[in-house]
Amino acid sequence: MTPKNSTPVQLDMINESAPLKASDRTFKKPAKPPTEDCRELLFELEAAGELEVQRVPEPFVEVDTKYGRKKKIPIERTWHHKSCGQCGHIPGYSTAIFWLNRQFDLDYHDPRDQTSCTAWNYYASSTSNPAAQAAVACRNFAQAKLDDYFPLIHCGTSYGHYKEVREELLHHPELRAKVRQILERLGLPFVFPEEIVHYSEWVHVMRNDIAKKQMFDFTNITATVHPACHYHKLVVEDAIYDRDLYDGQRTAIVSGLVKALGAEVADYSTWHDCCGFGFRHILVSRDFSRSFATIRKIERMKIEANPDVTLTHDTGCVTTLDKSQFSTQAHNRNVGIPVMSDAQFAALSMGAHPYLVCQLHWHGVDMKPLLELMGIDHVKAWKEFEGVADHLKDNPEEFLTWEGV
Amino acid sequence: MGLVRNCLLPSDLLYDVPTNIWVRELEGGTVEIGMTDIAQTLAGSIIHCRPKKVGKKVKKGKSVATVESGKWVGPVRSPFSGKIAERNDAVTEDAAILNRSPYREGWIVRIAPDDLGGDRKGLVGVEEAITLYEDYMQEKDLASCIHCAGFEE
Amino acid sequence: MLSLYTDAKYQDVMVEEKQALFDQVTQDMRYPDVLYGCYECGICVAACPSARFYDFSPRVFAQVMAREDVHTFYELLNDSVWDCSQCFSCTCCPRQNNPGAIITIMREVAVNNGLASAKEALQAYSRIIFKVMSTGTQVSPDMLQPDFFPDWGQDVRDVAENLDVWRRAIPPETMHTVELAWDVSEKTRLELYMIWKLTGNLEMIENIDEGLFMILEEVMEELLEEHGYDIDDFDNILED
Repeated sequence: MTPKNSTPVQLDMINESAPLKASDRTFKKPAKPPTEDCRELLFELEAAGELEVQRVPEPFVEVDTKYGRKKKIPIERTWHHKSCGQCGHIPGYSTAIFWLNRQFDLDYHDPRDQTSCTAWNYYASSTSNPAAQAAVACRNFAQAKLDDYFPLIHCGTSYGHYKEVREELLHHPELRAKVRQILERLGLPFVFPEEIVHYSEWVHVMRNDIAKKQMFDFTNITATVHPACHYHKLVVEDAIYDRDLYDGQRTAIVSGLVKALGAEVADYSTWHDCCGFGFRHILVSRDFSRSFATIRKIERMKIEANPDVTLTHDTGCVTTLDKSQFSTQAHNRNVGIPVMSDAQFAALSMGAHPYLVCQLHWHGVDMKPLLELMGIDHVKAWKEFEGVADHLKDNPEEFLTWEGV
Repeated sequence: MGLVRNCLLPSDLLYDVPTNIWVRELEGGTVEIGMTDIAQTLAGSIIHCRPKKVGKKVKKGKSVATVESGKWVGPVRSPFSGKIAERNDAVTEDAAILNRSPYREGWIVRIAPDDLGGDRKGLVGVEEAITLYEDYMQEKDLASCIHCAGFEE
Repeated sequence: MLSLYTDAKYQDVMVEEKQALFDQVTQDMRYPDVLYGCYECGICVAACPSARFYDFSPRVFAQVMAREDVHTFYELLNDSVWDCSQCFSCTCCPRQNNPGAIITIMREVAVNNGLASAKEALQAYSRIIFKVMSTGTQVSPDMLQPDFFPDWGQDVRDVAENLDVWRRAIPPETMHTVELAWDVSEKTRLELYMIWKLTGNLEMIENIDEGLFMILEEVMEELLEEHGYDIDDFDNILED
């Protein structure tokens, strides 16, 4: 347990040529990436007539990834590949992503012709196989191409899984043959996107534009960041790394946004740890998930950083970190950090309604102290929400629309 | 009224213990089926019940309805082969009826059986059901049935 | 041929059976990409969340597979394969092994062969499988019930009590549903069912839960029929 304000003890170097301490070892971008470029392999397959590559539409912004390659992030004409856990249990998360797009008048598509990536089930139960998973992915991608919008993936699990599917398709012609057969049967083209883009990468490239429209002062807010395992560990290369953030040692995602909004990013010793979601565990073996999330993440953050909020960019992580804190509080554990996504955080900074847009009433840990710190009148906001809810109760055929927010 | 570990088993019904179904023979030769008290306890708060359409043919042992709770989804298996004569639309509107009134309001479908006498042989009366359920509940580690507010036989 | 270890389990199971399952794993298309050889550094264990709470070690999986120890493999397949969190933190491996991916393959083998331990591990999970396979979304708002998630807190109770109104109080049109995460079109569901049939996914379910298979098959058959398709026309192409 390291007290927050202690300084490391300085030891004299007895031997000048002694090996570097772990903290002195840095990741240096190699001169040449040690991995192959997926995009080049995709284009080769396209040239061979095997599939079509959907190009990233303009306008796009180029970002650096781990080994220095550039990745294209589309700004608009995005096909929003939604997340089950977000839409089902954290509706403010998906709503915030759409809301942000709308604030910038961006052309986007929210499809009904979309299935889950089904990867949550796949990693939980393995009641599937690579061909089915690849076919599900390619069915979604084919639909996006037919709709003429470029896939933007809302969930970290989907993102990681689709990277895995890409690897498998690129390296196994027999798998491609099966997928082609299935798509032909469905009457769909065999299409794969040039890049697999996560919405948090879009938020990252938009962060300064978001900051320009910021309505609330976040300079007194301290946030800890939790990066999703499936974003930066499963197929490591395809993640944003930025020399200006963590000196390129860790992925820049989410942290970039926090800094752009003027809030403080506080570090903690278990930054690299998983949240404990477990896919199957979060549903049917929750003793593991909440123990891990509490002991290795929340308590560490509390003791070492004492943040006002913890931010992440994945469905499973929001779920695990948020929902784990209720029962562990009953065990007098050191918990009580509000949890939300980068999208909701960005939206709140721009004046999004905490309940009608960010749907914070679906979250577990009390958000009111954080909203007060942000300068948001949550009492007034909740009254407004209750007004809308009462109206909807009396009018069972009606729904809240974008015009209402 | 039969009772096993606080679970109710009406005396005038027949039972298929392994599939947790009760059967009530009606005037006119149709049979009415539903879930037992034990079944509704195991399922927990039931959210959806989707019986098959009227007129559908059913085989013995096959599903006549899907029941979904917060943690479980599964078939309601018919003890009879035959045709669905009637279905209880009330349970499609409010599936909680299956928890509240499993034997009266919570009937799921009425079936016109192909072979009433033959298929009936696979069922047991309340006395034998009590004995079989005692073993069943022991195996499933089920201490007793849970009855929600407003529970009625 | 018995295990090297005196405390080995499942010694009553024929070694041929264990070998057959082992071979299904090593013959999987992905296997050459997931294991290159392990020198027991344990970096994967240090990064692994499951290793902290379960008698589970990604290093052991890599070692056992590399040494082709079919007896210990069979133990892992039954006893600890379901402890893995599938986070892939273990890909920090300096040899670029992927123990998490070894486990994904092993789990598929366990499910395909209908192992009792797989059925038991997935028993409480059946509703999720039904939801994702039949509707195209994994979870739904109406799953937030206090008796399923009592440990998640008061917000679950609030959501369950106000579900209809609170769902209608969300702006995106596609989310105006309580039975699915978002509104999935019928055409898309149809395509999904075709994928499950063509890849043998529906039949896979029969191995672990016969009741679940029954209701899934019925749902799929009904929709396919409504659109003029016969479910039996969609054979598993992976068996070709």
